[in-house]
Amino acid sequence: MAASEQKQLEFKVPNLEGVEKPIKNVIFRVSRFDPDRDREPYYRDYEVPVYRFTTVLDGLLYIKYNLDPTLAVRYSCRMGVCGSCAMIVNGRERLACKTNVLSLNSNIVTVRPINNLPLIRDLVTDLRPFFEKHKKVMPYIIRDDIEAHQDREFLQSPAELNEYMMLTDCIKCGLCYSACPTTATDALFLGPQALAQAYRYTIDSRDAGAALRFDVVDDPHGVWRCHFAGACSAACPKGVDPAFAIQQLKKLLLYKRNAMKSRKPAPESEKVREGTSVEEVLKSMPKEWPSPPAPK
Amino acid sequence: MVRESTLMWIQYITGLGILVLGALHFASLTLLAPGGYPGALEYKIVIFRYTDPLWAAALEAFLALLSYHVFNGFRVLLLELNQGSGWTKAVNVTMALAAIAAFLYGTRTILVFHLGGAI
Repeated sequence: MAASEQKQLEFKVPNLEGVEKPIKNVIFRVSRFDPDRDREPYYRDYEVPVYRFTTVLDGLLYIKYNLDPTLAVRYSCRMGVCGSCAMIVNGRERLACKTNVLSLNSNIVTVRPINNLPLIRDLVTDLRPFFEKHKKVMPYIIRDDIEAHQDREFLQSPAELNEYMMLTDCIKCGLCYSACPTTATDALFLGPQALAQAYRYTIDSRDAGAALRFDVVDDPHGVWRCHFAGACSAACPKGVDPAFAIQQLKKLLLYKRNAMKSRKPAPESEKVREGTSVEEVLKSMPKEWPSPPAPK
Repeated sequence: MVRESTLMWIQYITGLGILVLGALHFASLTLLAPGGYPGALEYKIVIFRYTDPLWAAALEAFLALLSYHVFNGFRVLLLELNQGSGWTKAVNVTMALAAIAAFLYGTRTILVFHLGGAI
């Protein structure tokens, strides 16, 4: 299809006439950056009608589809679950989809990309360094018998679950990473998210990977570089407390290093899991996933 | 290679030690000085403190704790300000040497005064 024949993107604002009226118009001061044209980011203003329910993400999408289609913004679920729309709104790390514009009590909404990550374009940052660090702490259950017992659960008491439950709410949005003052100066620092997840899996009673994770976090750029500023916990949109987890991780390293290393992981249940086993699912999976049809 | 947790554990312990010996050091300059603060820094009184083996030992311990705590603190700051394996090695070695040098120079001063006088 020739470029001239390409259909324009359409975004229709719901017709709210008679139902809802814009409460006011707000200036969205958005950070723009095109690596092919700009030397450094700059701000551009857009006027956006704001309703009772308008979120910052709604405002940005209004700009994208009505005022400036070149605006790059990353988003997905629109309900504070995926963590894609992490950005800095009026100077604070927030999820754009979870931030109601009126709640900001300001006629100017300044939006810029999160800190401490390479900028790709406009509000989109390169999250690879963040996820590399997350991967480095081995955020999964490590034990020798995990392959042999795919058909049963490992036993865990509610109290043991409570030890790390709060930390499972992490959606990996990167807001804590952006707020962290140590990450701002030390590019090799693992960051609050990765360290909190290191603690989350190490403290899990089903896990036996403490020694491996301790080698990663007990590093000149690891857990000891946290100054306990607490900015990560203040920034988290899901109520996770990485600052607490990092201090707990330090405690494990200082007082319980050997005990954690030699800890026996929780035993597996005698009951075989009902339903389709993992082996059966794996067998039934196609070796190659069907590809979507090529565009005409 | 010493683990970072060991280095930081010593950092915390030395910090506590500095709190105690530092308080003692400042007390020696004020409350515990014969005649109180006004004459505390007079030559004779200072020499008296250094010649007393207990005071000299306390000062030496204070110096040892400070040498470690200060230069390990600098090491931490410098590693946060810049990264790279070459930089890390350079900072580690320089700070270790600086700590040893400060400790030896301070020890020399304490010993000279302990043995009776100025150079």
